[in-house]
Amino acid sequence: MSDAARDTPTTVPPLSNEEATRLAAEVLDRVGQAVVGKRPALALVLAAVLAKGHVLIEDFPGLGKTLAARSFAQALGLDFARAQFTPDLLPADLTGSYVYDQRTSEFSFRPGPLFAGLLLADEINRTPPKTQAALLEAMQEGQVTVEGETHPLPRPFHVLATANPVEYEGTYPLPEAQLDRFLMRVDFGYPSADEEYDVVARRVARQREEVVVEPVTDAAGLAGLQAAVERVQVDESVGRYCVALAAATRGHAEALTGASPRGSLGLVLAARAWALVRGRDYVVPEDVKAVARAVLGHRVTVRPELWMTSASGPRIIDSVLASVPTPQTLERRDLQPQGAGPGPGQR
Amino acid sequence: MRRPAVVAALAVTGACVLVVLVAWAALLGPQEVFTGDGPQISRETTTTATDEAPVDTAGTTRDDIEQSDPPTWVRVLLNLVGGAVQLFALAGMAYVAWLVVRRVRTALALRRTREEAATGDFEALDDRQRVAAAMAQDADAQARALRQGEPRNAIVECWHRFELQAERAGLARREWETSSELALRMLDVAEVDRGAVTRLLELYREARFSEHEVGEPQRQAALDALARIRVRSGVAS
Repeated sequence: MSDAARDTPTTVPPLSNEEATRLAAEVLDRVGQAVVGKRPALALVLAAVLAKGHVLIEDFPGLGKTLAARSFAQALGLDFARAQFTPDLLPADLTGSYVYDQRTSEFSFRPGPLFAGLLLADEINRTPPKTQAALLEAMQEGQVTVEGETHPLPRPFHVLATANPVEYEGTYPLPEAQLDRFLMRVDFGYPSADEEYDVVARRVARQREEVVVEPVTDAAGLAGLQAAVERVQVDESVGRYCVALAAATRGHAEALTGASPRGSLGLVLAARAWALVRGRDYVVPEDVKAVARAVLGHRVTVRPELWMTSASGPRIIDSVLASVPTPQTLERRDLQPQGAGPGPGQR
Repeated sequence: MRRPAVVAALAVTGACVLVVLVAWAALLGPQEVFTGDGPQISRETTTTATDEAPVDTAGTTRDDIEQSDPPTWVRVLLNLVGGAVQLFALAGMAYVAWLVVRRVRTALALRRTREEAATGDFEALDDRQRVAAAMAQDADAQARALRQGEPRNAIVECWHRFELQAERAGLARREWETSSELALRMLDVAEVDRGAVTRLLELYREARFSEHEVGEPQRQAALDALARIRVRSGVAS
């Protein structure tokens, strides 16, 4: 991908709120044609992508994780790459490496799968920490450095990583600091009987294995959507509610460590994207509650003595959501002169 | 949640029993516990010839030393400690018994509530009547609040009065609940116009959390929604 192509989305103007919501709904509909049911989980993944985040999908094999990632890439018009994370995968296998070109007698850079719009990092916990760190650094910095030379990744760049929650033998669980880099952790769960039959019926009717999703937009369109998310307003009381939720995880009786400030920031960003998906250009406390489990659940470490109980990150978040006060109903604003909208801090 | 509670109760009971046994043993002393009326042992002993027999130079035997009573202050102290341990053990057992009784009573009350909710319509009817009565009582003040002042504040105040009505009807908003969660709870028990409540809730959210301009059109929309809610719930306008 050329540098010009990489820079294109940053110059794209934001879409209007109505257009962005319509586009998001269309993307979800298209992905829903391939992934049966699971609309709430798919909406969370889309919200994470719109908030410029990365998603960790932790679920059992065969639940459509790869299909969902590929479908999102197709619907959003992004380049798609899949990297199967195995114990012998090296950082250079992801980032790319310099190869000697005998014709020109020079080393030329051959980019790895990281240079894609949407990367599916399959079974991320099966590769050693060194390779995990290479991926996570790319996720955070948006660039990779090989042989002392820095290569910017295409924008938008998103990672959908998967992990199997039951098989731990021969795995390298992601440490908390690295889990924190994922904006959301989502699980799809098993489909209902009707949904499962729908999967079978669609496959039989399709008469072929692969599912092709028509693109709704492209990389520039996604950048426009992300720019629209940036304009979504967050009332101070809602922002403080997010901070209070993250802080409450730190003092929870079942938690060894709670969510970091990156958690509260992620909560606000994800809630903004969720609000846009729901057709609003302002965030309400319900948006925060809708994304809180996915955003904060993996950032909380359960006390070791409770590992054999039903205590878990999502359960701690549920408990926190059922105890932290939501913003007050009454928050008066001073009367503004005609034509002048109320500004921040004038309440 | 139930299983850990049972395990904890059993653990506390076991600990109490152990403490009682230890206290009993401490009060009786090692003589009674270890050499008291235990199983009869054979009196026949085998003797072994030794070169030198023990010589009792002080005129006392080993049994005399072991059976001599401790000083009075030691016995008083032991009795006091033993009594205190017994009291603690009894208090612990009483506490465990109280916990068990309370848990059983709670479980029975919960079951009774669920059965009533499953079988009787009277409770729901009461809720409906209570909500309707609370709305009727506050209807004029609510409409007046919506007509007065700046539209944004008026809409927020109008919704707030809804929450006050719900509170009066026994459906108070919990502090961790959002406005839509309360609205859902109200809709579950009260016979109100869902569309109108949703519209009013949208207007409230826009007025409360957005920077949008909220003017007379929004106030009029809120008035319309409020009128529909009142008509459906039987409150005279």
